[in-house]
Amino acid sequence: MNERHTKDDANEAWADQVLRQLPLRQAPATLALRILREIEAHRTLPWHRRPWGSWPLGLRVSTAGMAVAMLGSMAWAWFWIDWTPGAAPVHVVPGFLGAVTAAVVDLLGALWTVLSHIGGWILLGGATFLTVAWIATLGLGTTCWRLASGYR
Amino acid sequence: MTDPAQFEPFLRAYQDMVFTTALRLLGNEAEAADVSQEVFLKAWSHFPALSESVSAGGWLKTVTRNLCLNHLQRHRARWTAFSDLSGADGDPVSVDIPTAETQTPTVMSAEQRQIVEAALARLPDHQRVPLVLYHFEDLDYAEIARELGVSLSKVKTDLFRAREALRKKLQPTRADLGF
Repeated sequence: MNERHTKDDANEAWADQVLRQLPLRQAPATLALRILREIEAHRTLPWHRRPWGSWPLGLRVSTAGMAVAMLGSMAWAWFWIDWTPGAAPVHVVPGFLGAVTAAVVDLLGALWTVLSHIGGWILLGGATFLTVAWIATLGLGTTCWRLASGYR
Repeated sequence: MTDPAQFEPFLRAYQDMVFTTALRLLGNEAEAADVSQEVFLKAWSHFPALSESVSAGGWLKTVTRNLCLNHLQRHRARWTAFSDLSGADGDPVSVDIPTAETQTPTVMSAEQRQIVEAALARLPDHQRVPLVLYHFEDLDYAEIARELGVSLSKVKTDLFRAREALRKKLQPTRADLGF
């Protein structure tokens, strides 16, 4: 055993004896009140401002059901609808829903046709322009809001 | 949802333990109070299960430790930089080996405890945190290394230096106060 190990063992025993004698520190008198106030504030929040896990059971079940239904519809649409432009899927989806689906498919098909005829560089330039414009708007908006509200 | 009136006795029973753990790990009262609040808000959301659990204290300690380490993680760059500046790993520090008398402190007075608490709080993060995890939280070297995401040798070195630094900080006091 080298000198350092001897020192460390001795120091460890010393530190253990000194530190283990330290009692618990008393929490500030205001801590419990502060926590209870915070809990009360959380309790009085309306359901839609709380995390999903603490929503009322009925709402949790219905929103989960809606999410599953939406995902299911998207999966169904992806596999069963004929996405080629001009193909009306009325035979797959009956009634009013079928007409709406046909319109959406036609619009998407038209958009795809337009995009496929535009050059890649034009698309890239357009996307870059939109991104820069969006960032500039966001930055300007934030600056104006901070100036107006005095927030730093 | 739990009634705060039911939660209050639980909060009052454990607040000193949570606050002390946070204070020793963070070395700062305001930050310790903030982390304690966060711990009890988590406890409140798990209160139905926690109130009937015999290991509620252990759960609170673990959550406190994790939140404190997360808090320190945000300052990890500073922590690592200071830790690396304090000498090469494995350098023996030239100090006297404690004698049998000095190594066995008698029961400390309230004043002596305050001095030790203050000395502990003055240690840099990279020394205080492993020291607290080892001596108060009963984690072994490997567990500390895992919790902090550092090597085992770094934990050993930091602990060695932490004890040396604590001893040095208490050196004049030990002579004056007799421990």
